[in-house]
Amino acid sequence: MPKLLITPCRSALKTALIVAGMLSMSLACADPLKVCSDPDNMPFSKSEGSDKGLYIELAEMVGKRLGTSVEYVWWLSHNQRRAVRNTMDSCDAYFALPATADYKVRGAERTHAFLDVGYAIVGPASFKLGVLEDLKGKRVGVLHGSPPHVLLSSETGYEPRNYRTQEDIFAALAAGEVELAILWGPSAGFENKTTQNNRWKITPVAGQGLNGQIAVAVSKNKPELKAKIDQALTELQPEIKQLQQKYGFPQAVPVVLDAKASWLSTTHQVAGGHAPAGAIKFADKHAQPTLTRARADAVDLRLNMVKVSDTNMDETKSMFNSRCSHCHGQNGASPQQERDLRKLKIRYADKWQEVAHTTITKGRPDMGMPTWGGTISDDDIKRIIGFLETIQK
Amino acid sequence: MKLSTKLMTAAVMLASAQMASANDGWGVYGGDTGNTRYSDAKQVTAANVNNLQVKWALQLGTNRSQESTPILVGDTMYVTSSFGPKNVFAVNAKTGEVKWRHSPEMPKNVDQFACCDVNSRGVAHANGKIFFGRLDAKLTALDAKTGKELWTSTVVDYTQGTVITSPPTIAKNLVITGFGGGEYGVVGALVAYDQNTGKEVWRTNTVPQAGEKNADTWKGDSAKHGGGAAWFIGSYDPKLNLVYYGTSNPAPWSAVVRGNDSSDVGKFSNLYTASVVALNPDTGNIQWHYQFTPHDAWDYDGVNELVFADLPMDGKTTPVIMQANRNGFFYVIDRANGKLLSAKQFVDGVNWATGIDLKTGSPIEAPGNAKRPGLKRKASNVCPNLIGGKNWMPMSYNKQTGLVYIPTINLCMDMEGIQEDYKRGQFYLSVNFDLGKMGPGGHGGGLKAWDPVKQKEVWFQKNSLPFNGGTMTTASGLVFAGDIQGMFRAFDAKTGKVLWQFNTGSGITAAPMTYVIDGKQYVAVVSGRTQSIPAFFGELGEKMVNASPEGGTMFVFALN
Repeated sequence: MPKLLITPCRSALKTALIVAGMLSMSLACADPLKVCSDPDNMPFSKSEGSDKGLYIELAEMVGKRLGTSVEYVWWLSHNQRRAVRNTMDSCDAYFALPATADYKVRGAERTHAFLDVGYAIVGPASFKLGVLEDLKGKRVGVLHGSPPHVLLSSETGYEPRNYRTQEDIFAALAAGEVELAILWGPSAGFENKTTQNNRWKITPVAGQGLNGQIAVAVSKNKPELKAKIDQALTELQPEIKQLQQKYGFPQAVPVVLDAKASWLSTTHQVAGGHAPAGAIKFADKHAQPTLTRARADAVDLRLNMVKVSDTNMDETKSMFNSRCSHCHGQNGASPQQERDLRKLKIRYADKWQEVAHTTITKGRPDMGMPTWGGTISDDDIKRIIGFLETIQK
Repeated sequence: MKLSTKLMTAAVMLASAQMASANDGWGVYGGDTGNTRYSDAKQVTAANVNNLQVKWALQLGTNRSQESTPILVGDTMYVTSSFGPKNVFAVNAKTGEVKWRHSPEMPKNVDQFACCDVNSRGVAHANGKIFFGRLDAKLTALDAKTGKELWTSTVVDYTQGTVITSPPTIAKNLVITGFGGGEYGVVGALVAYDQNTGKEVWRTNTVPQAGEKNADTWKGDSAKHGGGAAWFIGSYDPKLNLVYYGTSNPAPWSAVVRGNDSSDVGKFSNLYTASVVALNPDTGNIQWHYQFTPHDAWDYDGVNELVFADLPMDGKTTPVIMQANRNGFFYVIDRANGKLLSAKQFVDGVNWATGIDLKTGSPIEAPGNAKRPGLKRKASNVCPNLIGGKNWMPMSYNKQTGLVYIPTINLCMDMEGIQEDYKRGQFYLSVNFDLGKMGPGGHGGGLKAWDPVKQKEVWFQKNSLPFNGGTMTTASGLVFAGDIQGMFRAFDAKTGKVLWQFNTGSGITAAPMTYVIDGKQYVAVVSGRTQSIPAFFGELGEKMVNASPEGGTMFVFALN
């Protein structure tokens, strides 16, 4: 389990907070490294849980080398370009993006590539891949619309079976619905390691559109930072290898799949001579509110929670009302939907206590919610959550 | 004298009562179930429209991409805001006083799954209930009087990238909805629910799956995630007992996955994508279909509204459907059987096809795949671009003038067939297209009056920018429409002359509506500039964003 990084600077800030009882930014302390990433994209990044993914563990290591703490701007990257567009302005670095020059990132420069990634053939241990033709006549699971899907569809003699998720493809492999699959190497390796007991052989492949390199995108306004991160990434090469190991990324030398008709050749030609006018050119700053979420310490709150019966509820209720009601209404019944605390359970289901604990402790500065950790004791915060339990709809 | 005045008044009232039995209300999104957006209301005319003034306004509570057309039931107006919708309002249609507001709880991550913005186009009404689709792919019924939630049914899992943005279609005891997601590889479907219970009655795939009829129009197993989502508004002809929907582009964009990747489409036409489907509401069965763009490679989504008219075709009055398709052709189709009656380019510069073969119903594509993007094949300067000669913003049909009023778009594109879908954590290198090319003439679009019988332009009011508002037309010879700059205008339906305008302060994409209560005609429009769409257009997009600030207000006008 990765240790949560608390730099001396961070500790000092924390102590100062407790002493001052309020947020003060005038402390002599290096600004935190603000990192944009996806909160739910294993094995690369995750905002919660003990394993945070390769990008986040790496970001923490980079932060440590820079002598600063790391803060995160989380944004789901179902649409990666939109995610970058919406967050790049509010962070120093994006962990991480394709290193290729074809992939434009407005307002950012890329560090050197620190990781090789690519698709991989997933199949039984007995399967040996030499050339693309070895896949002929086999039922091969591919992700809908992915480069392998296009590759196998464009040549005759192949039988791609398309699925929307990797989970579906592993299920199809297990059921014998497909004999092989072509999946994104790191994702497939992680799945194989964590849920499949390493029962599948993962063979990384290379070829146009099938593999590439990853870099950190750094805000253009901070050229010094880019040099520092570059340096850190160079020094961290052994650790990056270890992280790849830890998360099950395939590390063998990839097999080159040379399609007869070099199927992506003209794309590169086009992309090289003609800047793709993707959405990335246009920074739509106001399109979506930025979701900044503080990291929750890994505690199982449901086990750790103060039991409702163990506490004097009237006392807790008045504590809540004296501190929280001016924003959340008397007894949490705010007429403003987003501040109505009676709907936490509806909103966050069985995670609501965790969310409440994180939000109270770390605050949501961009939404006007103060940081109470350090001002209210953790036990009292848990008591307040116990009170919130009594008002859920 | 007094008595005769009274009698006169009575006579006038009687006349207006008769008029009320004509269509001067606005009970559904498209004005009527045939989406004509035509009103018999005549109080506001070319002569007096100059005196039109704001009577009241309603702040919708959100600040982005307003696309709703309100509906009127009795003297209550129902309107939605964007984001979910964040708000459904019931307001007194004379005063704007809010009777109730419903704000559904919406998952925070929902805008991740909406390809093209977090909009809501409004509600439907039947039997004292208000129905609306939601971004989290649920369908909800409310008590029209109180706003109390009656039921909510999950149409599909929204985390598949499927959202509902348009009001459902009412047919008999059913409420019928589609959903979006053509960009995410869903399988499109139309789903019917019982109005009283919210129970699913039938579900019909708009992309036939293995074993279903026409499944063989897909290569390999590509039908499995073939798109063809019916995400916009449906039409309903109670006499023919048919419900009509347009369907979206196929998925994935890369055509080689789905078929021949060539103008020689062969059997892989990818039914029923980029098509109109006519369903029998009793069974959900697809009675007939017509495909506008076989084996689509351009993202010529076929969802645009299907507008009813009775047109003289070959000397015979024929009930037809009209559609101004994204692919740049204006189609007239027999409403009973789906037979193509005529098709013609309604915007300049259409070059992916030179015409539509009326015998086969198929487009005559530019030779040598010259304008068909494909694998290892770039197509340059293809017109229209994927936003289309017309996007969703609804047109209207005026049976007095016999003309259709179309918000047209004039853009072209460069495109290549490697638009792979992004998978999280993986590479995303595709998007080799340039969408922001102005079409012939250099204007972004404009309002076009079109004769659907002669298939000919009658007048055209240009706008420098694309993505302007939907239209509405009245028996008194007016057309109302807003633009992306926020200006709301009345045009002379015959000549296109601007008769009146009002600056709403934010861009308009929604279509207006009009209604008469107690002898007074009101005109309503929702203002609030589109937000996500400009993001596809590079520098042109910046101009669209700069055209007006964000907003979220409904304005209601009347004569003083």
